[in-house]
Amino acid sequence: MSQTIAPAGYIELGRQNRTDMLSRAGGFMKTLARRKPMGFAALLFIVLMVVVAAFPSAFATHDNPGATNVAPRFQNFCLGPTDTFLCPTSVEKSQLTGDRTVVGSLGQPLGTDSVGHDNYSRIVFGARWALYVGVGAMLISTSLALFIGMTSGYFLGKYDAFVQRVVDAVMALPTLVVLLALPAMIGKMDLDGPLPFDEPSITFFKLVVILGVLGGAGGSRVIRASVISVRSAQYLDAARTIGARDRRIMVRHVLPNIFGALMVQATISLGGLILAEAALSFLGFGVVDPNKPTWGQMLNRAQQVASVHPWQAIWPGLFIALAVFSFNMLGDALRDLLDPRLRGSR
Amino acid sequence: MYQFVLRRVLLSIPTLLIVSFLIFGMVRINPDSIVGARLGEGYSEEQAKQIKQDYGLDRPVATEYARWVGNILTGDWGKSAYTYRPVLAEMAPKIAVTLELALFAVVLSVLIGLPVGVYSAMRQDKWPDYVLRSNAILGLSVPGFYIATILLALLANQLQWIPDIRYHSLFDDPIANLKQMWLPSLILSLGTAASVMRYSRTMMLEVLRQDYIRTAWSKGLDERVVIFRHALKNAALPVVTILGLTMATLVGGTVIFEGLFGLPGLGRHLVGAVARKDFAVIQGVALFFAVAVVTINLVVDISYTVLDPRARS
Repeated sequence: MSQTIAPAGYIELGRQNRTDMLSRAGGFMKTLARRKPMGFAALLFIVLMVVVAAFPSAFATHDNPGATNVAPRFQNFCLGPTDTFLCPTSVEKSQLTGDRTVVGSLGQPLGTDSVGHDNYSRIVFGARWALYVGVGAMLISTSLALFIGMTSGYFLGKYDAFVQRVVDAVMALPTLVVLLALPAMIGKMDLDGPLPFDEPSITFFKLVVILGVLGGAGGSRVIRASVISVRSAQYLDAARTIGARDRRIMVRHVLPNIFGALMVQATISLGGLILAEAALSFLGFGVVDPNKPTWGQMLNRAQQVASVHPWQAIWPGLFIALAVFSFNMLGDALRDLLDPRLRGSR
Repeated sequence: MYQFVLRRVLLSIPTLLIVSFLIFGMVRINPDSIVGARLGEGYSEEQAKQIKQDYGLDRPVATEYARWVGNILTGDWGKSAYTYRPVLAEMAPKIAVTLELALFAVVLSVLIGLPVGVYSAMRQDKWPDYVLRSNAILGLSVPGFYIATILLALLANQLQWIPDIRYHSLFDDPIANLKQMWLPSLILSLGTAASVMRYSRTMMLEVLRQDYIRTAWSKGLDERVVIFRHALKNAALPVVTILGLTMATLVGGTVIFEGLFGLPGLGRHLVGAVARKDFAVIQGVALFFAVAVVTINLVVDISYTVLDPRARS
């Protein structure tokens, strides 16, 4: 094959040796840091989140964030002068929570929730669940989007027409409505449960699969559009002329050229998936097991006592927003760097 | 043109059929869960059989689906297993609430998103553009239910204000209705407003690069005239399409906000039905939402084509 001029973000799969790949990755990081500082900052936050999710015990002050403390108490993080709403310090009475002493402490920088769980430790462990749901669903949705988008955009015709109607139908289903309805139909009401490789129970897994399938439909549109845009390129004609089969053309010629769009799609979808899980848990139908604290579940608990302890809701929501913001920012930056055709579009 | 409209309408029929089949199929994934939900633990074989018969779970899928669609079309959406009232009759008064909430949110998101997007495009790559664009990504990232929770908490804690738990209909008491609707619609609209802003900015930038705009500038026209008389019309129309795309997200938003603000809409109805495992109601609401999304997209596509001659080719 003759040397073609690589478009921006062209990544030749499976050819380069390891050092070459490393230096390419390093070079890309430099470009990202120089041209998209916000995107680079987002990447740093994501890396931090991954590290924290991988070793939560190293970061958490309380190793079992599901267990309540000996003396359950409400602790708030002071944001201003004491005895104001910025830092309530008086003993408060609430019908929901009974008497709660409100004190700040060094060991629990973000305070505790209504039953005495350490907020900081729960947020640390929550990063693990956010990434588990997000990355798991993203892997499913991206694979699905790649398969549907690639075949649909490559073959077009009747196959495409049919597949697109199914995609239309799945996209018309509001994600949150399906997330609420489907688990009830499938069986167990709650979606909590151990990781699929922990025990035979796969209820948490169910959430990942539903989110992945729903996300795959929308993502396939983006991939299909990219495939169609490279479909009439001369190098595909050339490949066909020398007798390459469809599968080879798709894998060796189309895939590398839509790789940028695929990466962008995967990154941006992660934010949406984490948000979807948070919304479901916020409604009280997602992960309800207190031993598996997700940020959405924390926000749900905080919301129940929010009128008395408004600052409870700040932390979990802040981290949901930060995570989603980071993936959106990084996806935006990647789009500008990898996929010039889509620059500036939604 | 008529051909396009006809083609577009015909295309949405298979979509509707597939959507309805997906929703119909949900209940049949695991018939045992239906039986379990109705009878609890420890039921006899006959009882289980009876339930399966009531829900048509013992009959073939194809004929059962045809019967179900027939019933839906004639207005028989089944009965709630909880109140024993017809699903459609229960839903009817709630539709208006959700519709109003969604409509306000759409209007607000255009009112916020469009001017901000246009202004951002006019100041491309200057600091107002950066600030507004970052805010738009922030709007897409910060969950509406987080903003609402914090806001409601502070309002309750500081001003002793909580949302009115009685619902006032728009026709009976418009002032009280708007008083309780504006805040949830506004928060609900923020995410969509961010999408509208980003899209209208892109569209505006594209239009501003065109020759006729350069002509307008070179005629010495005022910036206001160039933007509002020449560019805006062409830039604003495609923004309509983004509204169709965000409809599914918006519907999900109404589910959350109706709960938070105590509005008796379809979303809260759905949450209640899920908690009670009231399958006919879940199916009904899900079907209504999905059909609404398909229909709105259809209307958006058609009206866009009718309004914009460029899209007709």
